[in-house]
Amino acid sequence: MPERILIVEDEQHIADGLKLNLEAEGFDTTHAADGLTAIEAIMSGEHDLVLLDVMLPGASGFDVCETVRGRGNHVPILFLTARDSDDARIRGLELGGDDYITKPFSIRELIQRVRAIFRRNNWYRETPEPEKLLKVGECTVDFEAFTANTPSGVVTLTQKECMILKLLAEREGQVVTREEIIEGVWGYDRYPSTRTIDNLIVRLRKLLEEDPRTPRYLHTIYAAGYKFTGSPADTK
Amino acid sequence: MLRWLSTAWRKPKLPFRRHFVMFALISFVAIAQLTWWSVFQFSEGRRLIETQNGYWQQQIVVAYQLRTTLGADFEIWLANTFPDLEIVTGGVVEVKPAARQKLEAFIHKRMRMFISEGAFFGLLVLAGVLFMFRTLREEIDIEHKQSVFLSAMSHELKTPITSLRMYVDTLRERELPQAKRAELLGVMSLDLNRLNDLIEQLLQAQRVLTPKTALPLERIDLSEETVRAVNDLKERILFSGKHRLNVDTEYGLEAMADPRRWQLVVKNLVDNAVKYAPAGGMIDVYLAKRDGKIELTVSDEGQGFAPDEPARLFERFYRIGDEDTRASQGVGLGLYLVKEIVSAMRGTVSAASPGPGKGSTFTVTVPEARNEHRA
Repeated sequence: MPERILIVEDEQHIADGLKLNLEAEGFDTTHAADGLTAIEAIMSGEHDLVLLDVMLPGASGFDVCETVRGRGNHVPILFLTARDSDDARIRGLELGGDDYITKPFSIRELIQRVRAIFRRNNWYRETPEPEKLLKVGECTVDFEAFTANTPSGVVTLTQKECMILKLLAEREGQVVTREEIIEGVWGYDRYPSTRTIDNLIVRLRKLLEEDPRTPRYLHTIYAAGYKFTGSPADTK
Repeated sequence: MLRWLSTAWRKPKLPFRRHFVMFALISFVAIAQLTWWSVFQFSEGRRLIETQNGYWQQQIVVAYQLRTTLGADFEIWLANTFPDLEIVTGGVVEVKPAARQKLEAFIHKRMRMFISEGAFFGLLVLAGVLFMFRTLREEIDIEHKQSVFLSAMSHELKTPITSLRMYVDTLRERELPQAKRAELLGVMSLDLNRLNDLIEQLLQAQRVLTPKTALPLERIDLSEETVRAVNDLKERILFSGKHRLNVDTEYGLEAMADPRRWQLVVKNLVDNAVKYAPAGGMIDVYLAKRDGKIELTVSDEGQGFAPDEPARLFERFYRIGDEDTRASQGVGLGLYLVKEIVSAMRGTVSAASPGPGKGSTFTVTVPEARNEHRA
């Protein structure tokens, strides 16, 4: 069954061109021309990816992304926008976007990015059943529900936090560099900065480690990257 | 002003807070300086009285000490040495009431002077603060409009370029039936027109803003030029298939104008209606003679506007709403150009709407050429 892509774009010519090209590549597409319709369409859960313009009537692309993420929807979002400032790029990605491409873009590059998102998404979704739960000390992370069951209660994780944990757990006991995390989780090199990854690890430690200052599971390897440790028996 | 302050304070996009802190700081220093100066002058007056009383007391003590020594000459000595003192009943030496009155009058005069100078200085400070505030407000407004303009311009340029690039790639890389290729070329042609219109608007704006390049007005047939302008737009309106257009022009109406600019007035007003009218909406264009003048009206059934909006609609770079949720194309120059061109023709332009969602009507009134030149 072909992947379903929602095109959220108020400029009819661009929307038509995207539809033509994506359908020629074998994807199914639907179109929403304003922010409010887009929220409704995304929340219906019928799409595998959203191409989201930022300047939209009704609600901006940023608002759409923030709203659907706030409602617990994790569909991959690729921002398409005329803005190319770092601030706009970072804002979009921090709100939960998965990638960001600035207009005017090459249709070939766009299609490559769409495929890369699907690859990463499939890697995450196709986790074998026993590995969908990861035990970190007294906490249990549920990769499917994006939650962590901790002694102080159930905490919601972002998709990126889950993907980082999954990547580290898959290579348990090995050092994973920050660049490998960027490549594996974001898929491109302009964002986030390695500092952002450090911040996400700090947050994960606060949630999962008994004493975040002396971590037992999420280790920083100086000038190299991060390493996850935990006996195989503990990861079930 | 308070209303503007509260509105500006709530708008996070305005660089208002940084300016406001500077403005508040300078105002505070100026007012504090003025207050300190007033208090200082008041206490200085009191200190002067106390000092003078001290001198007089010392003079009285000296006078009593020398009284016996000087004997009969004491009275003359006292009058020459301490003219502010006198001998009253019982041989008591004290300060003359006239001297006290003179001192008090001097102090009062000083106080009056300081109060009037203080008030003047205060008014100067107030005027300075108000001037600063006004300048600050204008600067913030310009900064905001520039930011909106740049954002809108970036969007307006990149959108047709994105579309063109995508269709060029598509035509180059995909096998498409001939009919589809022709359709895509049609879309590309519209994108090129859009870019061309934008550049034309910018050039016109630049010409309007540079008086030296103003074209001389000539006698033209406004009816013909209006129909010509609408015909240029018809293709685009019909292609999009979203709007219906009704044009009714009275024949042979002449005015002093530049034909290209009059066409721009008509196109900008119709374009504006197209942007805001809903799909299927009717756009009416009328040109007729009314009360000895020529009146052009362009009406739509679009989103209309609030009663306080018309004053700002014709400002340069003004756009309704937030750029992130822009509901229409444009960079905020169209209506500004209409106003400037019509003003150069000694005409007027106005906008009216029964309210948001209820459509709008733009009316341009210009003098008829015959009335001006055949008198």
